[in-house]
Amino acid sequence: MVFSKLIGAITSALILFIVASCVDGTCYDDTEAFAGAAFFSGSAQKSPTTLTLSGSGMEGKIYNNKASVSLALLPLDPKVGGCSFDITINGTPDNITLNYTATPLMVSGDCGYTFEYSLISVASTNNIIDSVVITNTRASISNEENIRIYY
Amino acid sequence: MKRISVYIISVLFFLPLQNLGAQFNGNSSNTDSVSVPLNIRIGFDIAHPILYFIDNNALTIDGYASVDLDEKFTVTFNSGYSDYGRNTDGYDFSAKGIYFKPGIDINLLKPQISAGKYWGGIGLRYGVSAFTYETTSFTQTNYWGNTEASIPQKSAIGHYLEVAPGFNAKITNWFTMGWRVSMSKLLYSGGKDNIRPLYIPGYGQSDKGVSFGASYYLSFSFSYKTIKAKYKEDNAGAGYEKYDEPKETTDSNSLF
Repeated sequence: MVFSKLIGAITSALILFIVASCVDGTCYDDTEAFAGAAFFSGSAQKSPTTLTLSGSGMEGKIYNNKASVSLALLPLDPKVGGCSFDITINGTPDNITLNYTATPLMVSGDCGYTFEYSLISVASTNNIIDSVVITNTRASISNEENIRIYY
Repeated sequence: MKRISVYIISVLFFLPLQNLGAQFNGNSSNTDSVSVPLNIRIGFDIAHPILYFIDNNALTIDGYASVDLDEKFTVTFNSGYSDYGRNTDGYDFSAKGIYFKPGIDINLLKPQISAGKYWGGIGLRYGVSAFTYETTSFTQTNYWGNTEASIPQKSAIGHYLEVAPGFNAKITNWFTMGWRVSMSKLLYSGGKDNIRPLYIPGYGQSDKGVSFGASYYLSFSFSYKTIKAKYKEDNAGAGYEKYDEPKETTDSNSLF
C-alpha cells in the first residue's frame, strides 16, 4: 500500500518534471515600460478630441490624429536621461519634456530584460496645455498613469 | 534534445525497480523483526553531465554523502558546482557558483522490504547557493531605436527548499544506484528585485515559481552497523498477500 502510494507520488513528480521541461520559451509578458499620460480639463478627466504625438526629431508618429485617447503611452529613451515629445491636442501643437533615470529590469528568462524609469521632472510649452504634473514617478511595464496633462 | 534526455533518464529510472520487483515476488518472512544494515553512501550524479553534452546551457557537478540513522531516516548532504550560460537574441546571461543542500531522507519502504538494500521515499532539503551572476549584454528595441546595455557581475546567496522523491537500490555490497526528481521552491534569490539572477546554481531558473530537476546517482556504499528493525506482520506494505499455511486442527470431539 505504502509502496504503491510512493510509486504514485514519484510518477506524478516525474510527469510534472517532464511537463515543466517541455514548456516553450515564448514571452507572453509586456516588456516595455511607458510613461502614461492622462488628460484633464479642470479637475475632470477629458480625452482630447484628437491627439497627435511623436518624439521630437523623430519621423514616426506614436499617435496620429487619434480620437478619444484617455491614457497616452509615451515611450522613453533609456540611452539618455530625458526626451521631448511633440504633442498636438485638438489641432494645437505643444512640446513636453520628461527627465528620468532608467534602470534595467529582468522580466523573465523567456522575455529577457527591459528598462523601467523613475521620473524626475516634466516641463511643457503652454499653447493649449496649462500645466503638466507627475502623479507617479515610477514608469514600469504595468502602464499606469504617471503624468497628468491639464489643458 | 530535451526529449532525448528525458528518454535516457526514463530508461535509467526503471533499472533499479527491477531488483525491487524480484524482492517483492520472492521474499516472505514470518518473523517480526529483520536485520537492517545501516549504510554510508557517497555518490555523484550522472544525469546533469549527460544533459550538458546534449544541451550545454549548464554544467552541473553534483554529489552527496549520506548516513543512515536507522531503517527509516537518513541524514544527507548534497553539494555541487554549476556553471550556467544563456545566450539568446535579447541577452547573454551567466551564473556560476557552489551550493549545499543538507537534509533528511525518509524511507517509506517497510524494513522487511528495504532490508538495507532498497530506498524509496522522499528527501527534504534546505538549499543554500553562493554564486556570481552577470548579464554581459542585453538589447532593448523601442520607438527610439536599439539600446544595448549590460549589468555588471554581482555576488549573491540564494535560499530554497527542496522536496526530492526517488528510489535507489544497492546493486552490490559496495555499489548503489538510483534516481531522484526534485521540486524546489525559492525562498530568496539573493538579488535585487529588478535585476534578480535568472539562474541559481543548485536551484535552476529563478523566474519559475517552482523549479524541477532530476538526478541519477551512482554511489559507493558500505554498511557500518546492523540493527534489528521491528515491523508488524501485515502485508509488508508491498501489496502482496502473505500465504498462510493451512492449520492442522485438533478437535477433541472429533473421531478423526
